[in-house]
Formats: sequence, C-alpha cells, structure tokens
Amino acid sequence: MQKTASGDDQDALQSVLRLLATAVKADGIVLYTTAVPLGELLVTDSLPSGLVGKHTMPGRLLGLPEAAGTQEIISTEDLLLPSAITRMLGARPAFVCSMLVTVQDSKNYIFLWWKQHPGKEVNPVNTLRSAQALLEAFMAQSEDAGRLQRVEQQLDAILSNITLGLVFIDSLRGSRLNPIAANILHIAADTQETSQVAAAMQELRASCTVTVVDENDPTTGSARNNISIAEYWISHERGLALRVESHSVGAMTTPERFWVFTDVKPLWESSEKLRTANEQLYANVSQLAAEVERRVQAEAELLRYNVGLRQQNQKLEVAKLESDLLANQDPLTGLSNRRYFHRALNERIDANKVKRDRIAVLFIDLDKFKSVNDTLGHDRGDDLLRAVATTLVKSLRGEDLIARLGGDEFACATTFARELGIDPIIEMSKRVCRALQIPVPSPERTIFVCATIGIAFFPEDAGDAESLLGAADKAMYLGKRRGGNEAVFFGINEKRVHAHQDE
Amino acid sequence: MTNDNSILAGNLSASDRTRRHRLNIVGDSGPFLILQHGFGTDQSVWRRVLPSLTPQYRVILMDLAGAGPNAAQTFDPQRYDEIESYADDLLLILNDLAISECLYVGSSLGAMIGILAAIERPELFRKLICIGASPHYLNDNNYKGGFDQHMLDGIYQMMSDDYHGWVSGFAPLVVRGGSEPDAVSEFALSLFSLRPDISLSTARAIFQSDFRQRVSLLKTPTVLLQTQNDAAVPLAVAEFLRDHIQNATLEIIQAEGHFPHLSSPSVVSDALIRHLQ
Repeated sequence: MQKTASGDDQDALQSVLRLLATAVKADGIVLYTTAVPLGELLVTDSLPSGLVGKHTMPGRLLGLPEAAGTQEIISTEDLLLPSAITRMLGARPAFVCSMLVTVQDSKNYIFLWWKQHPGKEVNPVNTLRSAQALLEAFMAQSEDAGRLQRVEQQLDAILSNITLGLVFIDSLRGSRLNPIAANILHIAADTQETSQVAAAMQELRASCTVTVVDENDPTTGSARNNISIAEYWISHERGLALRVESHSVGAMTTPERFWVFTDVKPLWESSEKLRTANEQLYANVSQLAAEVERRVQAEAELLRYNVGLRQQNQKLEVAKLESDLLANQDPLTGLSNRRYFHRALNERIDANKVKRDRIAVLFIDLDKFKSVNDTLGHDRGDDLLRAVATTLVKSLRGEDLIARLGGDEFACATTFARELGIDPIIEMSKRVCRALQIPVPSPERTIFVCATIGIAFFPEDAGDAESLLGAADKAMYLGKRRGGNEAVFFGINEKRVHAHQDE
Repeated sequence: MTNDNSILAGNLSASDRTRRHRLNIVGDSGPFLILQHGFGTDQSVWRRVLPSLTPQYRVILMDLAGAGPNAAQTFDPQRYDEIESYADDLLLILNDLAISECLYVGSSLGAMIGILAAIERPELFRKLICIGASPHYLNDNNYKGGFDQHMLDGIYQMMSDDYHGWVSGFAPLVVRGGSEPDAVSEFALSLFSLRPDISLSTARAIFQSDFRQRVSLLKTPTVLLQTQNDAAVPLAVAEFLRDHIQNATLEIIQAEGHFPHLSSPSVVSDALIRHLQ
C-alpha cells in the first residue's frame, strides 16, 4: 500500500487541497490513486482528512466512468456514493466534480464534493488545471517519499535483524551502526558522530592482531576491483575473531563507506585446531622419517657387518688351511712333516689291508751333513736339505709320500703291486741312494754327501706306520754301521729272500 | 497488499455478488423486504420468522461479507474495518437488482447497515425496522453505550486466546431464554463456524465504530424494537436512537436477549407484521 508522504509533505499537500477547496468553494476534496493492484481506488489525501489510506470501490460505485473525470459539477442524486463520504463530510454531498491527474505512470482522481451547488461562476476545471502541476509535483514527491520510507524500513529491518555488524560511515552526514556493530565496538547503538565511530573502530583494530586477507582469496577477488579492504581482526583477550570488510557506498567519489563485521570465531578456532593437528602430524611424520632413516642405516651397518664376517670367515678358513698346512708341512723344504707322514702312511695301510699290496717305507739319513753345516754354515746346510728334497721328489712318483722327519732325516713311502714282487722295491731303493750322492763344493775340499737308507715294507715287516718306520730305522742304523751310502732292507738277507716271507 | 476479496468486491459482476452473498429472494409477490442479519450469524437466523413474512412480501435474504459459508472468500479485513463498507455492499446489490424501493429489517449490525444505506440513498428505503441497534457501544461522558474499553479488550483477548471458550460464555449471555430451547446452541454453533480471526475482526469493527452523529442524518421512518435484558444494547441506547433519529419510534417487545428472532420468533413476527403495514 502506498504510504503517505512524511508529515511535512502531508501538511503541504493538505494546504494545496485547502487552497483548491477554497477556490472552488468545495466542502470536501478526495484525492484517489489507482496505483494499487487491479483497479481499486486508494485515498491518498482528503479534506477533511479522515479517509486517507482507505480503499474504495472504483468508478462504477461512484457512478462515474473510469476513463476520465467528468470535469463538470454534477448532481449526486442518481449516484451511488461510498458511505464513507457522508461520514467524512457529515452529510451526503449533493454535487460532485472529478478530474483526472496523471503522475508518472499512475492515474489519480481528484473528487470535489459540495453539499450545495457552489454557483455557476465557479469553474473547478480551470482551477484544477492550474493546480495540476503543483499537485503532480506533490504526488510525485509523496510517491518518492513513500519509496524512501519503504527503503528506510527495509534498511532498518536489515540492520536490526542481520547477524553481522554493519557500520555506515559518512564523513559529511554522520554515521550509522546496527546493534551488533555497536556491541563489537563498545559504543552506543545510536552514535552518529563519525569521529566517535571511527575512533572506536581504530581502537578495536589496534587491540587486535590484524591479518590482511589473501589477495588470491577468491572471495575477495571482486572486492579488490572496488578498492575494498578485507582483514581479519583477532584478539584472544577479547575473544574476538572478526572478518572485517569495507566497501565504498555509491560512486567512489562520495565520502561514504560501509563496514561489515563477520564473526569468524568458529572458523578461526577450527582453523587453529587444524593448524595444530597439522603441526602434530608433521612432527609425527618427521619422527617416522627419522626412525626409517635409522633403520636403513642399521640395515646397512648389518650388511657391512655381514660382509666383514664373511671376509673374516674366509680369512679364518684360509688361516685354518694355512694352519693345517703348517701343521703338516716342513717349512724348510716344503715336504710333509713327520706327523703328516705318520697319518698318511696309516691311511694307506688301512686302505691296503685287503689288497695287501706292498708299501715300502724308506728311512733316509744323510751322511756328512754335519760337515756341511760346520764348514759352510747353516744356510748352506739348509740349501742342501732343499736339494735333497727336490732330488727325492724327482726320484719318486707323484703319488708317493715324501717327508722330512727332522734334521737330516727323510722318509718315503711307495706302494707296489704284490704281483710285481720285491725286485722293483730293491731297484728303487738303490736308485734313490745313488741319486742322493751329492758333491758339495767348499773352499778347502769337496764334501761328498750321501745317504743311508733303511727300507721296511708292509705287510711283511710291520703292520702300522710306527712299526714300519721303526723297522726301516733299524735297517738304516745297520747301514750306518757298515759305513753308510747304502740301502739296507730290514727283512731281506743276501739271498734276496725275505726271512719271514712265503714265496 | 490487497487480497483477492477486495479486488473482486469492486469489479464483481452482479452474478458474482449474488453468489458470494448467497442472495435469496423468497416469496412470490408483494413489496421487497430485506432481512439483514448481524454479527455471528448468517441469513439462516431468520428461518423461524420467515414463514410469517413470505406470504405478503418478497423477502430478500443475503449473507454479509465475512458471514456464512463464504465467509473466508468474502471477508477483507482492510475493507470491512469500516462498517460503511457493508452499507456499500448492500447498495451495490440493490443496484444490481434494480430495486427502486424496499422495506428493511435489520438485526444488530444489520440494523446499523440499513441506517447507513438509508442515509446514503433515502429514496430506496420506505421504512426501517431495527432490532437491537446501537450506534456506539462504548460508554462516554453522558452516553451509556454499555461497555468500557477494558471490557472490550477483555472480549478481544478471550476471542483471540480461547475462541471456543469465549463463544461458550457469550452465546447464552446474549441469546437468553425464550420459547426456543435450541436458540442458544444454534447461535453458538453459528459462531463456532466462523473463523475466529474473521469473527474478531468483525467484532472489533463493530465495537470501535461511532455513528451517533450520523444517525441524525436519517430521514427514513424508523421503528426501534428493543428487548429486555439485551446484553449488547442497554435501553438508554435505544432511547438515544429514538431521540436522535428524526422519524423514529421505540417499542419494547416481550422477548429477551439480543436475538429475539432466534429465541422468541413469534413475538418478532408479530411485531414485524404490525410495523410493516
């Protein structure tokens, strides 16, 4: 419903109507507008007042065509008038004149009412025409005022009910804020003094941590174009977390801005929680990474340790081999030593127990070795021993056992098939003896080194290594007593027949 | 914002109006006689009186806007906050019917409507008979309307908070005793069938109106029928009307309450027939 203009405008309109009424001697004037939906008439103003704001039926009730006012003074006798007119005037008017006044897009009617005919000289039409412009201006004003009032009402409704804080600051005309903003700023809600409002905002801002909203934030993207500002004001003491936006009002040259305060505390708090959780997560992840690093290193360590162990194992095995070797080797000559000879011989005997092939054991003792040592020194003595070793190796087969028993004593063991008889053994022994005749030059004279060999063989002479060596040793001793440089058999006499054997 | 009712009211065709107000003409011959009901009822309130009148008159019955089965459709709170709007409706209908002259019997609000209409178009109404009419209900300096503002406020409050409770108390109070034992329950039922907000709006419009000055404009011959113990209209009011209407007579009938046509129909028929002649 179109509301009336403000008080001043209403009074002014009334004055105009009064002027008109006086000019035409009318008892009443009613100003109708049709600017309400679907053809009703609404009283904008009336004289006497009292009908303002009333709906009434359209022209049909009034007995007048709607298209235009008659512009004549006519009798109401045959007309059906709204009963309210009688109320307004205190009597049923006898005459009426109406005129159409168009203001912008709305059709408006002026009705003049007379209780009695005013007389022929009265011509309302001329009066009305001259007043038309004035009336139009007033009615337009009242429309504008109505619009203004509506806008004000809407603004009031928004300011009172919205859950944001809103502040309008106009440096020239004074400021305005809504209850929520007043609460935030701690000033009275009806404060209009711009300096007060601005000071309160400054104070609040100063007491908060201020973060400017990210320029890349999509919600402020367009705001940037209007030279607007958005900031976050955070104050833990006051328990405030506000998003503060400022926009200009109207064209940018006008000195008015409005500010919007949005409570983002819930958002802020949850973002804080998120941040803390993130940090925690990050710390956990870092710890995890460190742990993983540590384990990787431990694994590498283990790997290295394993490699080291393997290497050591290898070394140990080599050492063991070496040790074994050492245990069984004569270091000087590289031949096997006594221990090894014993073992190896026993093994051969064991292996041969069924077959009963002959195993000949030679016990070799060098003659005149001491002379060499004394005359030429130990080094030459060692050389000699090595030469003997070499000679023995050359003289015997690869599968034969050769050992240095110690000092200048050597031992050999060879295996002969039974069917070959003992002749090969005798042959071999004599050959070895001959090979060991080694002349050794010295400064004074030549020393003619030779060897005495005692031979015993399995199975005839003995059944184990110890005994065989013992028997061979005895035979050697016999040879030594006879002057040396001889191969002496333990069990065979001159007739080349073994004492105990069965031919 | 206007609602459908006010849009239609002005631009209705005659047939629309006929339908919305459930216009009925009963009787074959004789002068037109309008029986107009008042607040809280519809045209059916005249059914006990009707048979006595139809032989001699063509009785016009209609529902007021905001009454009867079409109440919700016809009622417009903005329009009917002034009683004159009802009078305008009546005049429009008479216009549609092209009736040039009629007799009018109105009860309570119906009586007031008749008075207003007759002020507006005196030539239309040959005679007015008013049952339980009152131009103003509030007590004033020298005027005893019968109610104080706080009483009225109490009524509005009760109607608003507990409509049924209010009806249960109000009905017996205004209908009173008589020859018809069902009168109270009939009126109560009628009130119950009204939408409470329409009922309240209408009651307000009636109680806040003041036609004390207006009635002196009435020139039509008027008969004021007053009962005993009318809770809504003290005798002083009837006397006021008699004194301020030019051509008025006052008769006290042997019936009680505000709806004698409901509670003591024969008495009313009797009086009507006498005065309509």
